[in-house]
Amino acid sequence: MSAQQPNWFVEFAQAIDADDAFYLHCTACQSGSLPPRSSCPRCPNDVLERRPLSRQATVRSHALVYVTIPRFIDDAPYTVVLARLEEGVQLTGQLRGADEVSVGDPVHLGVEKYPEDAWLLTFTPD
Amino acid sequence: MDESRIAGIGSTTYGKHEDASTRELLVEAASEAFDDADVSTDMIDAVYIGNFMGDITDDQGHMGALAADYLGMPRAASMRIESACASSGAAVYIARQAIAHGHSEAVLVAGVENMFATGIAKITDALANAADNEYENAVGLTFPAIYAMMMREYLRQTEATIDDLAAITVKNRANGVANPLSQFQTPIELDEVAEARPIAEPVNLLHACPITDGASAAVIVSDTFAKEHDLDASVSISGGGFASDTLALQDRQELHRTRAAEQAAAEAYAESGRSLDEIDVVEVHDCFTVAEALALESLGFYDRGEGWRGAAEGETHLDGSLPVNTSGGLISKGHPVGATGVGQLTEITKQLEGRHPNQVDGATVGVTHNVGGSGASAVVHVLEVVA
Repeated sequence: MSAQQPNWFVEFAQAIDADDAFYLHCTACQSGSLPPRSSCPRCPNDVLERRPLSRQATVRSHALVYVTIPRFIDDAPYTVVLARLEEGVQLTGQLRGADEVSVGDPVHLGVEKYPEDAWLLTFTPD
Repeated sequence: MDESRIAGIGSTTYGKHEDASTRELLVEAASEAFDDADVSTDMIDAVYIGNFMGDITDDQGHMGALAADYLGMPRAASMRIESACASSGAAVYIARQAIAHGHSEAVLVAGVENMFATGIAKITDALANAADNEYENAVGLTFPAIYAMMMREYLRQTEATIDDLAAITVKNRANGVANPLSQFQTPIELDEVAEARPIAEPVNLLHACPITDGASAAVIVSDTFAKEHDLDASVSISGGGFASDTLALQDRQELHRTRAAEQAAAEAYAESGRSLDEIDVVEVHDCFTVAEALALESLGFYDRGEGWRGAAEGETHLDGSLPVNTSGGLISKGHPVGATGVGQLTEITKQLEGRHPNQVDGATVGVTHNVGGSGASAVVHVLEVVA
């Protein structure tokens, strides 16, 4: 939707842009999660440490989008990728730097300002 | 604890309602339910309306009060219940709780969505509100694209082929032919499904449900109320379950599994005391072909990775041992998002009352399975004949 991106997401995207990406690590069950959580989604713990995120990922699934929302209508068809980062958290981003991708391919996480001033997560094959 | 009985049901046809508004669709379905129930509107003490995006399609919120006003139920508590595509399944769940706890004796539950007039791009945008705005919508991940990712994983992890999933469309379109409420009433062949226009590969137009206008309604009463007023209400909602999962697909370790529906089903079965082998007929939330396969696994009818076999091998066909989506399902009957849960309830009620256009002989126990988003919320109900 067209609402302004919230501060927590802007901070998350800017950190990726500054090569200072992070995720949240649960000190109890050791699982990873993403901002802006204040408690672990997998256990009752509410102590989450901010840890560096490598940006290296593996493709888990992908889709080639033809029918889309107004904001991306001029870009269709485009590919969206769901990938697992080395630290175990998963993110979704648009494919860059290639026309096709396969499950299992190594990719790296990036961000760009697109369209206009909105931050967009991307994955590019290594 | 008072049991919930279904006193009456009503529904508009599902499809394109040229020039219709949300309130007109709602009133049409509810009026039919009141006629069917032989209950007058002044007896109703609560109104629960399932609706997902009236604020966007009609610039209209506050749908509960609107229904109470337009249907003449001034003393009723009224509210809109929103749980994305599971909105009116959720409304049924709440209605049943209100009756069980003795707060209400007679409740109107209805669902409505008016989608066509809004246009495909804006509707795709509105539907995406059921997903995670920052982590999914912001990267252009539409709803069909989320299910495309789930479908790709399902095809990778199981023995199913894309044609095996297409068999779900062929089955449901065949079921829709006899249903006068169905958006599509023409059958379709397997090769036509394969050749359909892509929406978000591997999902194409015929692996997906259509955009639909429509409303469905039910008058639900306590068994005490039914006896006091000598109502013909032989179908009971004997079990209900409701559970949640992560909002975003990316937060799930398994992409081809709907855990919320597993939990909801377990709760509904336990409460009803019914076991799988007693269930005669099922309506599941087949928003995409893969969703029906996953539903049948979550409901326990098939092991993980085997749900596709139902349609491909014939077991879930009308003449099979477990008919699924005898209405045509979302794929053929249509998916007016907020109406679908109550729509499923009306279809199973017809089966159990012996008046369904695709009647399953001797059906006495049925199940409804209604899912919000990519599985982040799920409602399951068990219905059965009690008198």
